[in-house]
Amino acid sequence: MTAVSSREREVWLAAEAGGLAETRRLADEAAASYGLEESERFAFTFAVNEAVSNAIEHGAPSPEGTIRIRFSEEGDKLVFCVQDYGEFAPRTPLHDQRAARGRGLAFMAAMVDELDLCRGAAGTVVRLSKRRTPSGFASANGRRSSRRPA
Amino acid sequence: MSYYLTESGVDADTTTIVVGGELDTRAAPALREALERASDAGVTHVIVDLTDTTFIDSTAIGALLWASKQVGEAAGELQVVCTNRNVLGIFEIAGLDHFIRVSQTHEEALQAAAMPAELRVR
Repeated sequence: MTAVSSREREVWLAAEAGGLAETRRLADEAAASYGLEESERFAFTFAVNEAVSNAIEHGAPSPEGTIRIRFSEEGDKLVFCVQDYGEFAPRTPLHDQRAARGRGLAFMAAMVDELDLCRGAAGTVVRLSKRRTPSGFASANGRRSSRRPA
Repeated sequence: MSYYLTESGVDADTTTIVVGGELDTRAAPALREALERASDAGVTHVIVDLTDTTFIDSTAIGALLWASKQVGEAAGELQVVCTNRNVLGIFEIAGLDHFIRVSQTHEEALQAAAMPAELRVR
């Protein structure tokens, strides 16, 4: 694990499902440190889990068998990035709302304020960010305040 | 292991699957297999008790929705027991509560299962 600064944390995670619990712990810590209230901490952690799960399941690890995850505070945003070395493959059900798979991307988008997906020859980077809810406004799970993902 | 799962037959028509802990991609296969066993056995009522579940991801949600459809097509019903407000929030976003009855206690779920189908109100 690498602490890039007091407001950043970067980890090279083994690309296996066993690392998800630790990822969620790190996400919750980052969210708590950033000052998100409970429901928003859960939403952030949920989105992080989805992004990393997808990278593990559909991405390709580095030659060392890892993917890179990074938490940072950038201005008024808590930011998470996960990078793998494969091609992001969202599986969106075309017609069956009760299909068993393919809703992770939609979930991520519903849980955060910004979601960016960058696919390139070298791999895929998923970046999501969440802002603190202004004081005095209760936040329901999934309420988003800014633009939809591209 | 960050989760646990147990299966028990309440009666000839009802099976309860209790899942606790964190339901991520490691747990989802076990949940899916338990749901498949219940569906294959032709159980009319499947109750998935998530009282002690603290986290659920999209693969577990997908397994519940799949099982709900399978059991429903066999004229049965799948129900969920859950009081964790974070998990309930995920259900709401997923629209799961449109397809699956969510009860606060196992007893409440059993009472709903005992009602004639035409009298059950979600």
